[in-house]
Amino acid sequence: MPILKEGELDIISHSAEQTRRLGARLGQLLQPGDMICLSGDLGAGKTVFTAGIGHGWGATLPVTSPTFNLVNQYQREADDQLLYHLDCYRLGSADEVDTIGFDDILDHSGPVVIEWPERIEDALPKALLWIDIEVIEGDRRNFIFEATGDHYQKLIDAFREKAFGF
Amino acid sequence: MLLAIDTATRSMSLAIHSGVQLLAEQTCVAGNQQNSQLAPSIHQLAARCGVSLSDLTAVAVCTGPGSYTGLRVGVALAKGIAMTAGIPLLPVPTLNILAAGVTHYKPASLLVAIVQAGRGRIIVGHYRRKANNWHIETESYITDWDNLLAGLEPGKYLFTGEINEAGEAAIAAADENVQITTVSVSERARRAGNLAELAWGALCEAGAHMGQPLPEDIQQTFKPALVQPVYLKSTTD
Amino acid sequence: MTYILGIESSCDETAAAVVIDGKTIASNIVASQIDLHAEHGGVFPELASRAHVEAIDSVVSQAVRDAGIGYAQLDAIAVTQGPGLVGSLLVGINYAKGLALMADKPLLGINHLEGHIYSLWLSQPFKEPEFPVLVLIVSGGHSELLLMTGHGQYERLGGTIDDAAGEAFDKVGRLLDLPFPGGPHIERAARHGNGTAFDFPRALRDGSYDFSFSGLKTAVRREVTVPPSGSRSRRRRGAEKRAQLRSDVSVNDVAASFQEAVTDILVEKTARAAKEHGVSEIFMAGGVSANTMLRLKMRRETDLPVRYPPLNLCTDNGAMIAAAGYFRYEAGLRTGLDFDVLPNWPLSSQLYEMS
Repeated sequence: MPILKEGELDIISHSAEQTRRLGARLGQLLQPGDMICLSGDLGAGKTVFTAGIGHGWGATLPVTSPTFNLVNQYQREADDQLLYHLDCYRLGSADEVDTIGFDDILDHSGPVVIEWPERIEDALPKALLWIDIEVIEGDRRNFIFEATGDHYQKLIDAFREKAFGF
Repeated sequence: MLLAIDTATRSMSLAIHSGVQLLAEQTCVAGNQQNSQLAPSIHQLAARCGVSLSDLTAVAVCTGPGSYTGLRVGVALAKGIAMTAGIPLLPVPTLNILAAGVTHYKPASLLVAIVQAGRGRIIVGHYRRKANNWHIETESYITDWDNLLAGLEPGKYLFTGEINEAGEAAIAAADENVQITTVSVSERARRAGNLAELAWGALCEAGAHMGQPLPEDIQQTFKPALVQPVYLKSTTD
Repeated sequence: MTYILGIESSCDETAAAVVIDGKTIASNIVASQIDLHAEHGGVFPELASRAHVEAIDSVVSQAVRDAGIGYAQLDAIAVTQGPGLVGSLLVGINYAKGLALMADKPLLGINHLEGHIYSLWLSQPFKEPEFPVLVLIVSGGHSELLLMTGHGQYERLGGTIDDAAGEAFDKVGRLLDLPFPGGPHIERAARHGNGTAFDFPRALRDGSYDFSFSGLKTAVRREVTVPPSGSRSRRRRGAEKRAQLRSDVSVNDVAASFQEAVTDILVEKTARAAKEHGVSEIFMAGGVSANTMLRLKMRRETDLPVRYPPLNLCTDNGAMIAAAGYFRYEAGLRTGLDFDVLPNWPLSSQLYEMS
């Protein structure tokens, strides 16, 4: 796990199960308004990772693919926060975020996980956590976390602490 | 009897106009409640002024530009009403409604009407007063506050519409040769009463006469199926 | 006779129909956007919503005209309230509200999944089923296994834990460079392929009635795409990474083997659930229920009667919404003018009570 530089983190996951566990660690740390962008090709494990996030965050229902509806929302027992899971693959441009009520989603201040964020990059806030998932081979995946802003820098630090103990 | 509907942005405005009198009007910020509030509000508004919806002879709707969702809610509902009743549906652009709301003006001024287009962008129309009406100078366009102000010739301007904090700041910092007056907050609101009046004007111009059934060719000109939202966004689209 | 107008706009079909007494189709109009979306390789929601606004008035008025009635003769208006795409649903819902206001008719907000089930009430000749029946709904957005114990009475036995079955078809179609939608194109390619060429995983062979198709999709990806080059590319923000299809791969074989795997998963669990719950029949509905291999295997795997809708009612349509609406109408249910869109509305155990 080479530490690239401040604000970045590079992890290899060896299985879908490990990807899910990594997601769960991150999910435990999410605060209202946090924005996590997941970039990676079909089958890279974006939804598996998000299923982990949902589990760690405490979603009452299992996280499933957001591809059909584009936006799925989840509740948890602890409070009345909502976790949003977006798939932006079929949004043509940042202007089209209006279609999925993006502003309302941001207003609700729940954590937001976005698949295919590059489709709406112009509509994204400056500060966020960008996670790149690359297929190495078989079930191995390379996760590269990149934080923009202090808040997400701290989130990466807390995640590293939780997942690897340092 | 004309029903006017405007849900183009986060506000929701409705009016019922008899042709000689504005019988009812309501304007409020509805946000994402437009979908649930629009139909019941029409029902209640008509009941409150003793109008039966079966008395309607025309419907007018704000067709944008504006929020995609808001436009779809308003236009779909207006179509449902007009199509079912077999009456005309008149499309009216957002900026024209804003301009129609401005009654205090200096004849020399150019009126600049503004709607928010998200992420710091605005949609702008320039209007000039001629023969007691505002006439648009050029096609409306998308820009941002800095570019709008930088592009203005020296002169006197009236600004109306959705002027947010960024807009106030940009106006305050404008060149001293560009004299800008913002119209009052209540005149800046988009009111469906004005939308209704613009629509009546269009009907009369097309040959409608008060108290008489609408001629067949007007029905054809303002067929509900012809009305579509205007999704003006950036010029790169 | 009870005339219900059904309006459906939850995804990429603008549809309206008039159904008499929940069973007889008086008219059925569907304006498909398939060409529009095929061009882009998937349903783009903004395009879909705009197309709905363009089509809705002519589709609805034609449905009423073709039924040979006027708005005054309608008993109620049923419209899809969810699940589906918000922007698309809003068009049908608000048009229906305008119509209901003007014609002074009751409104019924319908669950799209329930609509799919009631597409089975529209096949002719119709024989009233003996409850309970087992229902498998498989479409682009849904894979649900339900026990239906009466009208409006559903017990959810399981469903997908990741991708829907139709979504797996679409995504594998994308990997194989096949046109959108994936379902019919994969089925066509599979006819010329060897279904045993690849042994794709059948996930979740456990006691549950849940489905999983994500691992299958990933397995297909592994077989058919070129592994990324050695050096791990950096600075990727904004750049999309798309896998390349291997040139030596037989698309037909992959399609056939993939279809074998999907249908195995669906049929095995459905047949087991049917046995466990002692149902009288198996009902299949939704776009994927049009798949010939799925129909064939389901009949082969069970002794029970298997029903599926006629092909034109497998995909989204207004008639199924009207049929579902009829049973709600008969149960005395009405929806207020203020009802909101429910984009993630699950088919809950008791949508309504029969009076």
